[in-house]
Amino acid sequence: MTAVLWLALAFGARLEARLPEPPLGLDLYMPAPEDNPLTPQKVALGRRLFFDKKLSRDRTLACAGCHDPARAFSDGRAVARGIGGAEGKRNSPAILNRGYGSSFFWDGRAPALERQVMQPILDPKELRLSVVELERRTGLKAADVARALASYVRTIRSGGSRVDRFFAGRRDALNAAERAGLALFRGKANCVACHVGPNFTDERFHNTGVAWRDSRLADEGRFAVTGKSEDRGAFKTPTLREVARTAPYMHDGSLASLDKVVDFYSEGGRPNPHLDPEIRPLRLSGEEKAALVAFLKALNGRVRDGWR
Amino acid sequence: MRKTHGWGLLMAVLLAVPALPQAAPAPEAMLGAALHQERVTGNLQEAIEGYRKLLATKGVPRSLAAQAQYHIGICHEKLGNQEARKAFENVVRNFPDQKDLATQARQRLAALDGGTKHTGGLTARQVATGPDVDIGSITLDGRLMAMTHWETGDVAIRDMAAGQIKRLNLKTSWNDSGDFAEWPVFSPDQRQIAYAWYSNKDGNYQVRLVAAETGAKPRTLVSNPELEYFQTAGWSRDGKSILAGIWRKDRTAQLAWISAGDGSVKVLKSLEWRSPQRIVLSPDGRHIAYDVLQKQDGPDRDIYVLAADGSSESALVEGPAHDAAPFWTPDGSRVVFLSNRSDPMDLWSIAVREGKPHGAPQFVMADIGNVEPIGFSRSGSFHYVQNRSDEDIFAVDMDPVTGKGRGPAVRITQTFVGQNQRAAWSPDRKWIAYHSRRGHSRYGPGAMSLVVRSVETGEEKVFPSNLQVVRSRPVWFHRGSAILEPAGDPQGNISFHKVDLGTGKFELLRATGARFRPVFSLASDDKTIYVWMRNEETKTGGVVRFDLSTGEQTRIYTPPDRVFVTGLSLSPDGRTLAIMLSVLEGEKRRQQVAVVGMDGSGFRRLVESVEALVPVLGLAWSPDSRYVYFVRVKKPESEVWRAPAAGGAVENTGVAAKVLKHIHLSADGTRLAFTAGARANPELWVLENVLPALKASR
Repeated sequence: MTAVLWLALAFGARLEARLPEPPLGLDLYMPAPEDNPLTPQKVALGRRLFFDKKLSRDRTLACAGCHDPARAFSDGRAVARGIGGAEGKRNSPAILNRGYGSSFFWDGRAPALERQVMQPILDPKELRLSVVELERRTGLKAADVARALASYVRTIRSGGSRVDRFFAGRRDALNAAERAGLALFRGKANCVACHVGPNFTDERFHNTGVAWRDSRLADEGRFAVTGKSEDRGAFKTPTLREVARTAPYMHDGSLASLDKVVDFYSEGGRPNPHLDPEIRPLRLSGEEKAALVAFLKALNGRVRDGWR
Repeated sequence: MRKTHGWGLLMAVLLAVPALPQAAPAPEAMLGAALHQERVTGNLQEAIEGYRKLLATKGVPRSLAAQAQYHIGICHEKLGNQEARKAFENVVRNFPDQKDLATQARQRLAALDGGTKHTGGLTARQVATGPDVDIGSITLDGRLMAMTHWETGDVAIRDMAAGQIKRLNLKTSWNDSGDFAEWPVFSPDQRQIAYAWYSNKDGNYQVRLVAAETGAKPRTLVSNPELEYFQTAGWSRDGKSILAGIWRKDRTAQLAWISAGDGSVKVLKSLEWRSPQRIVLSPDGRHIAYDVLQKQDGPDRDIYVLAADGSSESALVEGPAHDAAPFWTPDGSRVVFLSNRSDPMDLWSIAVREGKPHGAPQFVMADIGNVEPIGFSRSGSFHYVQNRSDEDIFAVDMDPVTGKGRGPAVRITQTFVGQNQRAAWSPDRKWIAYHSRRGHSRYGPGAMSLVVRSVETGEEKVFPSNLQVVRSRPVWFHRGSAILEPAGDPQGNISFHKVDLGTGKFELLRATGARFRPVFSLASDDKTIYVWMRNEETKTGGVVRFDLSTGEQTRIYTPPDRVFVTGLSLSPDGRTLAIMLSVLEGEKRRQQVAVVGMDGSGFRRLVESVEALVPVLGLAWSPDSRYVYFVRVKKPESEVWRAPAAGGAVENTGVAAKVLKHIHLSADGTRLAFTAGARANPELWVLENVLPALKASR
């Protein structure tokens, strides 16, 4: 199919089709920019581009290289790897339910998905393509590539987990250990201070001490974007949906398992001058830690992408 | 749009004033001080004097002078003085360059024209008052209003023309059960009512449906322990779905449609902890207007419009001002809302086209007050409820030996009358701390401020914050320089904060990560509290020694099954806890006052009563730790009694007042502070001619 035809399909007449209802647990309302309403055609184009290796300079990597559907749209590595094996400094986040997000990347430097999707394509350490080359290879304007990719990413949704069924009133959807984990999640462990709402994230930035190494910040996080002192070492709260499938964890992939993540928070994170006040020693028992992990595993559900 | 002033900034300005004793105060500080008088202490004459002094000062920036002139008008308006007109005219004439203020002054003048407080032919009349008045939902034809009948907890229908009330008899009295209905709303054909129902037995809210006839049998649509609260807000036009606000167990809020058939829930939008106050469906059923907190820990709201099918959303009214309580006009072309953008709470409106704002907000009526809107009828009548209260804090002299009251009780403060509660004497009895409702929100973060008042001079220091003050009094640390304030976080968990009275800083001492009613007492080490904690999962509770510095908890007393601790007070010598117990026997309750040692031993019952006793904050000790004071609930006046801690006959202190509660005895036993008074009967009002006024304002 020619690029011209793609364009006509993608950005031609406004279609009234609506994105199918989301999986259980997610909001019906998903924000989308007025100049980029969701259409099946754009989503289909975005999906094709997402898996297309021509979007990398040496045609070896696609977006899906770091956001693998088989791994809940993460990559299983500690830090992202670009073309030629170049390593980034941060973990590839699982791009689930990002259509509900309000800022993007671990430091929130992109205010919209349309802005976010272009950065890895153009980043010399990731797909290393130029705008000119991108437009030549796809036959599309870069802005249209961005709109299509953003539209597709909006359709990547995870829901319908056993936790969602429990919240919907199915009391048998969680076992005793998982229910105990939920009580800890809301109570003693206070995970809901940050992991809140249908997507289990407050979309805000917190310093948990992960970046504090050898009495200094190895990564300044959100501070690099805002220049505000309180943002030093702060990173965006990630979703917990499918969390058992997206190891390793934290912005730098430094914690290999959910057990280690729970241990980290039980100890009160890593004290540093900008530690979020919500992070404090929890002194969880072994049983409590196991319950919390059991609950987190129950957040695995169904991941859907595309217009379905 | 004029930015609302932050109290923190005001306090900073005020605190700066004593630091400049020799120099003339800066104009900003003078304005801050006058604003403080106007808004914080409520002393309008002092405020006017302050503004005049500022105007008389040389070199005052025009922006500050205009504000001073404008606020003179506001103060006079509040006082009902004719000088308000002159003050506003001065703003218009002398400060045309201060455009926002000049516009607001013109609007105030327009409001004053017509000779009444209301403008543009608007007239307000009281429709009803009494214990059976409440907010509800009114039918578009204006004939009927569905509401809660708080005398019984039943759903009732008010015939607006005849003034008659028909109850549905879902329950007949509070003796039946502690169940009650909230947010009843008519179906489009007026044959059914959807409502939220609190089930006392299950301890949760449900959504129910009932035919709008006396004796009809209700049907439960939603009953899910994960969903803690509902606001049923409207019906889809086809009558198949009910629009509702849902509050989940983690206290986050959602907008959702509930199927009137099978009760299935479709969440439209999650709002985290930015709880909506009002949710309203447009007359054509296509859009939902709602107000949410701008920040989860702040009191101000903005208004949004969401497509009823979840396909789009727009900010309708956003900005630093508090904009709340939206209601659609009958033709759906405008949303009317309350706003403090021009200082007091006024009525404003904004045009809406296809779910989006169309033009700027328009002023409708001045100073409607902090009312609870009900909505429009088709004719354009706007209904609302006005609540008033005569509840306040009082003090009475006490004989420290006999424990008897001496002379009449007197109101502790003359500022913000009817808005003050829960007073506590400082250890040296030179100050008294209390909570005062000073925000524009009736509930939620920032609604209540901590006030510390000098007993000798009457000077009041206000310590505003965005804390969600829970129903506990301010507790003095024993050195008297700080106060312990428990508060609820967005999830409803209790945290303890230290308020430094010197700096005004609030410091989080301990987040407990648990939900409980903070019935507690502070030990003399200023770090240990004794607190009743109940685990809602296991349904068990006990009195716990809680170390605020480490979070360590040790249970010291566990009551028997079906016995609950409802009050608690530590003796001055630190050796004994007085506790109030509620004993459940079948459906009946007995109240007890008892003492128990600090290791949980030596339980001794002092009072046994089938009559109600005032629970939380209803206990106090004599300075010598020999007597425990408690309050018997009686009509017309509740009474303060005392019982010997060693056992023996109880004595009436002679102190009595209507709905007396929250007692606190000074450390020397010579003064007793308490809260007394009650909410007055709510008033149902209707504002006529609103639609012509809206047309005129376009």
